[in-house]
Amino acid sequence: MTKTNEEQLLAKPNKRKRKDKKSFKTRLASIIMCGPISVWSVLFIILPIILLAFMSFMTKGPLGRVVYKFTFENYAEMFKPVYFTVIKQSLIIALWTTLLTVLLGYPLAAFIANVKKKTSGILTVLMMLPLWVSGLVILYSFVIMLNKTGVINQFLLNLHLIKKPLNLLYNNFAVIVGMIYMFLPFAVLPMFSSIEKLDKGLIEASKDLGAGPVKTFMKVTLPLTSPGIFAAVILTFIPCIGYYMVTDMLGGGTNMMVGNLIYRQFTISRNWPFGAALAMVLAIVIFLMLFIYTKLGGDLDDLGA
Amino acid sequence: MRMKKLLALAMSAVMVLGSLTGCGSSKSSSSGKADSINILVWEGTWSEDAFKDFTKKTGIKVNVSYIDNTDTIISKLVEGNANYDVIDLESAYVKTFVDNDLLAKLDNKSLTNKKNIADGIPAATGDEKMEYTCPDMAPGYTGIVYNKETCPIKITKFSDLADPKLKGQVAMVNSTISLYGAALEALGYKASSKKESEVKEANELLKRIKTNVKAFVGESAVSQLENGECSVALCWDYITLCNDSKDNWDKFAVADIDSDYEMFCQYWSVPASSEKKSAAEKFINYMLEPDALAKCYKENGGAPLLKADVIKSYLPDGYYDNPAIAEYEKLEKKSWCVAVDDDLISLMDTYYTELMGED
Repeated sequence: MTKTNEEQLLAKPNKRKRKDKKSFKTRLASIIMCGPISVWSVLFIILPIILLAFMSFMTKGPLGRVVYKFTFENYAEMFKPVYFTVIKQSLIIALWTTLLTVLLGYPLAAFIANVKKKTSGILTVLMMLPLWVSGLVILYSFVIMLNKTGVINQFLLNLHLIKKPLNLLYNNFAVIVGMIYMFLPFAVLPMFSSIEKLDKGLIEASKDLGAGPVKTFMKVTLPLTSPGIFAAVILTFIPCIGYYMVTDMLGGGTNMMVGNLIYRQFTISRNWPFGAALAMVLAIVIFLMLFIYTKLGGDLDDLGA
Repeated sequence: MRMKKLLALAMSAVMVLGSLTGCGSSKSSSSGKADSINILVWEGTWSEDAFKDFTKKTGIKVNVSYIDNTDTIISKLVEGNANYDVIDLESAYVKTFVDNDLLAKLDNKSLTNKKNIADGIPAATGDEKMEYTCPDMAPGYTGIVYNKETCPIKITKFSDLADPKLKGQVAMVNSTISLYGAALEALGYKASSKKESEVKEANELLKRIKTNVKAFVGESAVSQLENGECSVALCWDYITLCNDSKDNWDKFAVADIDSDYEMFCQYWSVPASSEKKSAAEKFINYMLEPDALAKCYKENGGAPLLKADVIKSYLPDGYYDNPAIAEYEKLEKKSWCVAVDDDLISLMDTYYTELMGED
């Protein structure tokens, strides 16, 4: 062994010590940075999901108590046709809402992305305003606006445009209007982000090559902004499935959504294990959708994850 | 590894802290006399001024929590982390609470104001001797209320709600017991029937009625009736409508049908877990004083629980002119009340899900 090698060998432990010290500092910094959010996530996201999964295999006891006896019955129960109808109804409402929200939101997002930066900022804030107000307050405002003695009917009656009040409340029209209002900001924001990032040179190039506005939109703009559209679909569709306040308050509660069904299990029916099983299935459906989204090239960052 | 240890430590700390949060309670002084009680009561029924008067009189502070459904009480008491000394219990659930040993026996000797209660106020099913409960409000009814000016048909039976002329004009409470109980009664069965065939038949009737229903309401159908969205409603709001405005006295009425209506009553009771039973009973007794109850009626309305000669002088002039008071006295002889249990709720709720799944 040469001297140089010996020196090198002697130097290694010191280097390792320095490296250890450095890595300890890095780790400490990561703990300080990520520790609180990790603890929060474990306590309020992971643990509740584990608890929910555990409860979904337990048995319902008297007075809503949970009996710790393992069973698959809660999952088997879901295959009853009565629950399929509720799931089907929720999916139909969620699909319509998503479709209309994205169709209305896209032009709005394109408009916001193409105006001056200052105006765009103001419009974005205006777009987000409803998110700062309680959903319940918004829905009550809709009830006040849409009912037979409400603002819209009174306005139309005063202008003699109608002879008797219109039926604007407690129907599918009111549900869809309410749903779109609630979820429009969630759809517009990712689409706006996608449209804003779009390289305008590509649109110019398409025009230069002789493509008309429709062809440019279909061949260039739409494909390049599709991640934003997909993100909008996910962000609208997922909460829509479980969201039952709109159907209850504006639709008159004549149809049950999955959200209602889960809520009833935890309150009126006092069947927590079955409610947990329903919630687990809903969570799995959401995870699957996110999985498909990422597999198709979607970025979870666009969803705020 | 260290990260894991840290995480484990943090979690343990939070769990220990969490387990300690339930330890806080309303205090008892060193002499054993309670200086505060926790009560759980229904929204829109009571007067906070009456509670303050009780504090002035006895020195016992009243910490009030409000509920809007019995499920909240059940889950709080069953989970065992509730810390209430007095609860305001719905008649349908008294039997369940008594059977599950969730209530303490009341010392009726200390409830001297019970003598003020009007004759005919019923005891709850499951506590016929009123050992665990004491009425706190006069009975209410789930009736068919209609607008005399806009309702297109004369309603003489429950199934009239399925008349096509009422398309889009009906509002109904979304309580399973109220809905299925009414349908079962209308079909000539017991409102508490657990026979699948009978409940199924009731469900078919409700499905036919549903084609006319514009809205199922959780708490109140007052707005639907007042703003003209619906001309008829199966609801518990007749008295609220009459309290809202004197115009409603001539505008709305309760349909006189061939089957009985659901009656519901509220009862004071003390949870078995309460350590301040004596103070709780003092409170219950105080709330049976005419002055205290009159304050509640002045704020929220309602048929008086106490004998007219005891409370009348404390109420505003003309209080008894409210047609709902006379109507409710009439309904008392024509009503049913069920004691719910898990099986009944489970059976009715399955059919309710089917009913709501129908387009």
